[in-house]
Amino acid sequence: MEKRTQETLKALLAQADLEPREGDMERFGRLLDTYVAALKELHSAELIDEEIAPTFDPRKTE
Amino acid sequence: MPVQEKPLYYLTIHEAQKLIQSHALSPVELTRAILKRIEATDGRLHAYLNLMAESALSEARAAEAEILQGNYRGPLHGIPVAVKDQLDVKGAPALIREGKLQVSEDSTAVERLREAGAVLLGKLTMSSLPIEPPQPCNPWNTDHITGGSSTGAGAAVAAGLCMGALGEDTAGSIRNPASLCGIVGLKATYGRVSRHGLAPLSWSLDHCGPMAWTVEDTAHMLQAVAGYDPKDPTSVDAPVSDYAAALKEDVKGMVIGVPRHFIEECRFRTNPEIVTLVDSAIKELESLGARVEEVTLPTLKLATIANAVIYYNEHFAAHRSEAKSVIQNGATARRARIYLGLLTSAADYIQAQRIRSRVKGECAEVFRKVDLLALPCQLGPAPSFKELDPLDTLFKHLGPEYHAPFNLAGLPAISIPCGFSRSNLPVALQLVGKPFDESTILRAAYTYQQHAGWYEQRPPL
Repeated sequence: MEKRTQETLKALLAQADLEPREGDMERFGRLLDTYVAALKELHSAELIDEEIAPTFDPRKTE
Repeated sequence: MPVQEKPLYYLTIHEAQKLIQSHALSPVELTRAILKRIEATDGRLHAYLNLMAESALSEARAAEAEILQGNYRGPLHGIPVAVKDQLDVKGAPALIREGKLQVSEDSTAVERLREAGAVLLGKLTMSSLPIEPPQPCNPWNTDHITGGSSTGAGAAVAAGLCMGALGEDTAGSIRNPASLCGIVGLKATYGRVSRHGLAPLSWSLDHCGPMAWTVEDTAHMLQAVAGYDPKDPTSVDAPVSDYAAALKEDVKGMVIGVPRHFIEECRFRTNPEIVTLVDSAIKELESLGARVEEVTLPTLKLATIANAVIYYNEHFAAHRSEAKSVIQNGATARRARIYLGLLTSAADYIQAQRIRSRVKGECAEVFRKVDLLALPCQLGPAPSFKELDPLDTLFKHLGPEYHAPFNLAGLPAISIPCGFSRSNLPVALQLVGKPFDESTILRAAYTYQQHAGWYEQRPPL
């Protein structure tokens, strides 16, 4: 696994009061690296300012 | 095969309901036949997590008495069905809810099946459970998987262990086992079928829907469970059509869009046999009077990863309190999902939601010109257990594939058998419709089914 991904995940796990199971970092290394690469690809999409996530509507209760 | 020559467990809902309505078939006799089938084959197939034989027989007796008194409720009255473990059934354990021993209330979808007079046989197994029960086997070849996550539903419907089932689809979990097991699976529009009492995997992507042997049976199941539910904040108060009435053998004038560029983008991951069989099915629809047009949905290639980001992040939020025990004791894929959810930042989640808006917009634009989209429903035939790695599904969700884009867009999508691979495993065509237009999907699927006739072949079990 990429060192940076491993360090990030370990920090996030610690912040959430969690510990990885022994061997999981190695077991899931390729998957997590592929995921991080896919996240980068997601951010490569060119979106305009009006293309936003769902918005809050104060008239709706849910 | 003529109805009178079929074993009772291989009747379709449509055939059985006619016999039940005319008092030529007793729901008790039918339920007993299916329970016997389960007894004979489920030791090999592992479809059921919790078989409720006693209550099913009691419900069948009640249905029979009601029908004999002249109170016939409709096509599901006295029909034995089952549901994925994810749907709550009053008094039954919900293993997906961290092994919760007894649930005190039926999910709305189950409640509606009961109102329609269906006989509930039990709860079907699924992937992603806290425990690891034996994996269901594909009835077409028991060395192969059923596909998930509605694994038990795929096996049970294909092998005659129930006449219809309810599944749930977050990233293909109805359509995947339907396509790999040679049955029909319909992910209804988001908001069409209540999610109340459905254990969440991802709130904004979870879709409940029917799985059955034929399109008619799928229509009957959908009719029973569709409609607004105030208990589900995402339920939509949209009119519910008469789905059985939509089943006409007619696609004349229907415009079917084929996202050829997207099929090409998925080609490097797709077994060529799949594309060949799906192309033949599309040509058959064209020969029956549909107009086929190529359409472009440029952002579809990012839709699967956007779906995965939303899925893992919402899943982590929904299951945060269980994360410690999942990491310590959970199965490989469950642990991986926790790590992926944790690794997803708020900016990633928001970007995925923005991609979702883009994909929804592109689909809406295309649906101004076409009535349906047609494309494959799987990357390959069902893999064998030997070929399988527990992380395969997660890797599948990190590149372009055919299911997740329509969870992201919330559109109704059906998997319908369109042939067999050289290894004699089922292959399916996927049809996708406009929001809340399940009727058009069902009509096209029915027309194709009646002409292609794949439903006449049952697994050799």
